[in-house]
Amino acid sequence: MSDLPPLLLSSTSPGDDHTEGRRRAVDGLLRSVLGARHSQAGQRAMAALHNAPSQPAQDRVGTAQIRAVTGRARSPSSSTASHRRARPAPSRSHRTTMRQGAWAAATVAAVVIVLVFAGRSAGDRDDAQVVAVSGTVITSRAGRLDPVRDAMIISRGELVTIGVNSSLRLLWRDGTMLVCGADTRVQIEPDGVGKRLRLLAGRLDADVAPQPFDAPLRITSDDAAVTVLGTRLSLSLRDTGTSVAVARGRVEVRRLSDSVVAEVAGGQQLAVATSGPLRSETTPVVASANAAAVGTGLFGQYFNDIEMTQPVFSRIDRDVYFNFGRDSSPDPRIEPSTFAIRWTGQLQPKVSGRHVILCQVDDGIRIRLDGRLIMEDWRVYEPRWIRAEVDLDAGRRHAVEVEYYQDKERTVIQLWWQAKGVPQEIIPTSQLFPIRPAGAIDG
Amino acid sequence: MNGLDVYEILVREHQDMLLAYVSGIVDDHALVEDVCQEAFIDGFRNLTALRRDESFPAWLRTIARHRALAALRQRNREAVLSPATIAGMEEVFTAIEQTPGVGFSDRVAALRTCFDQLPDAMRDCCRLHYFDGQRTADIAERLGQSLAAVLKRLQRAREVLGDCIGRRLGLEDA
Repeated sequence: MSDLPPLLLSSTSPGDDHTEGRRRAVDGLLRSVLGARHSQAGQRAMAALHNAPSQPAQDRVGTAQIRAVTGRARSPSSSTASHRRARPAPSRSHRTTMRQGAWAAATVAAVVIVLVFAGRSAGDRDDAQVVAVSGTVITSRAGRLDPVRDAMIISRGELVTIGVNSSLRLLWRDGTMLVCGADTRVQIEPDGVGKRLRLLAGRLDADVAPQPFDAPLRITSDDAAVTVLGTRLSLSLRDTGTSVAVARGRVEVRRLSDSVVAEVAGGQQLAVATSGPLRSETTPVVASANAAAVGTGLFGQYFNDIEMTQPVFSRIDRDVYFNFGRDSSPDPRIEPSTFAIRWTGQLQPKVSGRHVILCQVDDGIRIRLDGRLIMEDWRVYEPRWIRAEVDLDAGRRHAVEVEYYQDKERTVIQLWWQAKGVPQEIIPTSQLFPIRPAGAIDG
Repeated sequence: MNGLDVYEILVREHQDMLLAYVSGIVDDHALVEDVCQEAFIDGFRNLTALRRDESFPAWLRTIARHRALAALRQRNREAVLSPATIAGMEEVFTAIEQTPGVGFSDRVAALRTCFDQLPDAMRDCCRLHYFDGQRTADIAERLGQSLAAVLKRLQRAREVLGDCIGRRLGLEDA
């Protein structure tokens, strides 16, 4: 019994405390994963620590100590041994100080982010946003290393390192999506016209929206430069050199050593040999490039007021399916009882034809599809179901904006759909594509 | 890169794990977040006390567990976990961490992907139970199904998820 699959298969027998513990563990795992929640606990803890750096115990903690932790081989732990190592809870005054520190840090961070990203979003269309990250991913900017988080902006000049067993998905404002696999290093080049990426190690898959003719996307490696006007492709660095696979469209590949140029069309791949002619070969499938075509959710902006004038933070939500509880907050940075959320992005139907959009909500709801108001019930009221019927086209992504506010008591917002051939279901993550509005704050 | 910077990476690596662990003890989302946050802070402040032969995630879970139980006691809610229950929870997380080459985040990512691929009826049933925290009897009433059918659907969903995760991660015992 050493893995997750058998754990999920495990049966329970009431009355057995050991089995109860296993059930709690699996329930916790499913709750945390299926809850579509994005934990801010780590970020808030780090904000508190950064804000209060002068604790005596902390002064003794250096990089070497932590490296010893990260480098330590995982070993089975004895729960009784762990139990003996219980930490005494901090005193009340200590706890209060830490909480105040966390809130103060959050406030400062919010102000800084507003200033920095308001400028960026207005000016640089070549910044990318993180829409999915797993494992250990670090960005290097201005000589400083930072962990990469959901919704973070990656700007020109930043070098991103994706660790073993990790992955990263970046989205540009024009819809271009980049998926970086494990053990990959990629940099958004600091200079040049258009999107410019440098692949230093590993593999990336790109789904590139049509680019301006005079500002194409360019990806370079040690031995090749790939110019893209709009396509879906994969680029891998191997021991033998760079390999380019194109699923759709057409790209130009230039060998840097002698400037020999070749075109690679959809369904073809090319390995850049050190010498000789560059020849494309037909390849049956570029499987992982399909990853960029799957949705990741909607961009959610969270406000501390019903009028949506006080933005607090933003994040990607995998879907709109929330039940925060009674007088509860979706996030510690948001005041409980009274707040609002605006989700923006695109919705791609599974089938064409008439769809019923169903919303369970408490309190106010407003939904726009392709700029048209299709649902509005902007009032304080008990949980209720509201429906709207719309015609959708499976061949396109429809712009969607969902606005919601909560004013005391229960806090529910759920978005479902139903169509011919599509049973009533929560609108799934795979059909939702986030779009970050200009001026939205980050983090 | 100072100690705090490196600890931040450590926090990111173990955040999913700690969230899942605390969610097994506490069912209030906001409280889970608070407990995890304070456990990470305690962890950093007491890192010098961690023995070299001790598992960091297991040590972090101990801190989080005590935080969680204290928070529950403050709210006059159930605050007792027997040693056997704690051992059962620990067994699950230790087993996950001991599989070579596959990190916790990989499993979480695989579970998310597999969950999205579940048949609609199973997926919605799981969400009502594990996310909304609804009782199986209430789910049965809401879906117009028998209780046995809902229980069977949840059991089948766990089986499908287990198989799917095993396939995605290439685990032999899937």
